[in-house]
Amino acid sequence: MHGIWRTRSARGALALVLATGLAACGSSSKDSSGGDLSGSIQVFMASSLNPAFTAFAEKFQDLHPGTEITLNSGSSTTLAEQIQEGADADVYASADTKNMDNLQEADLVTAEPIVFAKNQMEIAVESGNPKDVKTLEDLEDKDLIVVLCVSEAPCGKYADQLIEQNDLTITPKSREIDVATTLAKVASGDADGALVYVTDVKDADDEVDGVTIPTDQNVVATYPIAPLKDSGNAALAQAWVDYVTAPAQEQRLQDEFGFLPAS
Amino acid sequence: MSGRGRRRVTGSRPPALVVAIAIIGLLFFFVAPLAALLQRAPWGDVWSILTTPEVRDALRLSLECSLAATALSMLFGLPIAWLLARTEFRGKAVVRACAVLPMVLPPVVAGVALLRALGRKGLVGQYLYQWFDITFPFTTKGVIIAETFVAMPFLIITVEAALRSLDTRYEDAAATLGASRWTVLRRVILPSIGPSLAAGAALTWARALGEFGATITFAGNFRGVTQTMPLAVYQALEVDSGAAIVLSLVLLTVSIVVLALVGRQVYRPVAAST
Repeated sequence: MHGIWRTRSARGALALVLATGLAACGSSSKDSSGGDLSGSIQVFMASSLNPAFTAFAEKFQDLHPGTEITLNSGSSTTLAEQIQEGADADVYASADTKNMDNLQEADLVTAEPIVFAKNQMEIAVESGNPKDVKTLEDLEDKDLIVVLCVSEAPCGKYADQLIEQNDLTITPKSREIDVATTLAKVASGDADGALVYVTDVKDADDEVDGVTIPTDQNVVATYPIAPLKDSGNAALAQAWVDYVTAPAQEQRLQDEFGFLPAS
Repeated sequence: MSGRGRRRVTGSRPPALVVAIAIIGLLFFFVAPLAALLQRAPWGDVWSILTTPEVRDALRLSLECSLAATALSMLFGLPIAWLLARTEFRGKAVVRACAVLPMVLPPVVAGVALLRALGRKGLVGQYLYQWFDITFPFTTKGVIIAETFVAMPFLIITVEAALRSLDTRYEDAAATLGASRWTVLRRVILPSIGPSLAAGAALTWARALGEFGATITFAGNFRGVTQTMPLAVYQALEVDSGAAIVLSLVLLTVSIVVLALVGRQVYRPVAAST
């Protein structure tokens, strides 16, 4: 939902810029001269990247005045489908390799996708952990109210995987539509525990606490990024991919946003 | 009701420009989206989609909750509309703004507000939980609360407008003839605002039926307990847009049929009496 509005408003802004340019009777400069970056691109990204990429885009636009990075976040699957249906996207960053593979098979990406981060699951609990949740097995307690994302959302898919591979019997009170509504219930104290990404807990760390799941029990999500073939601004798309995958940004993803190293 | 009589009252043919704009508006905003849904619907699978237990549960829950929400909206909305229309008090403008706030509040925000007010540890909810062991999140009660919260303003503004436009001389006459205030309300006022009340109730019900954001945020999403049709539609959209379209069409059909039935009741007497 956020993604749509972000896109629309950005398009509106773009239209305004174009209109202003036209009003100035063609005084706009051509962007291909001298290899300087300019213009705008649309980045389609998994929702979990939203906080990090928003920060990156601001920095990037400061470094390269005259460029505009528009972020469109959503479920990786939905975004990949939109790209296959001809959506106006320049870069795709997925929360799994499967969707990126699909685009690669459909010959829609120009370069080999680069894995730039990983993510894993964590138990989100109310601030201060009043129910003293320590392990995944604690969530089997019938007196605890556990909420999970719907199986169709990545957080739900990974939660299912966690439950299955650890042979747990967890009866959720609700299958939430997305991470935001899941965490809202934990933050308000109505749910005692939820299974979400580490980065989601980090993003909401003033409202919820995270209980780490040991690596041998956990599932890991892999984040690949690639520029797209139909991009109208290949130079800028490539520059954005280079920027995100540079060591400085990979470090920031880990330190500030809670992601795991790519390798 | 004769067609000729009505034509004379409402005036001659409207200007061509008005007709043109109306038709463009109808096509663009209503017909095109509906046609697109109809065109994309997987007609061959309709029956198999509709007969799944998930859909039956969601449809039943949607009908029950939206009707309960309409009843609650009338129970609380009528007195509120009455206060707003018939009494003067300091801060009335603020009260009215609060009463229609849910109409402009993004539904997800409404859901969060409800969680913080009526959740297990909420402002009011903590006492309901401690004293009476009542909780709303993850229960059907919660769905009804969320739908009522979002839909009641439609009843309030419709009824308040009707009460304002009511000629108070009838009430005065009834009172002069010795009717108690309760009798006046029951025998004079309620019958006169009947059509508006029905229209308000229909709008309220339709809004409650389509409620999504506040429900998912406040009550959660669990089959048979809190998963109403709009939630089922959204969840289906992630995997199978065809199924989602079929579910949307069911929701649309149910609401169009009911609204059309109510509309005939509401608008016939009004048109005849004008």
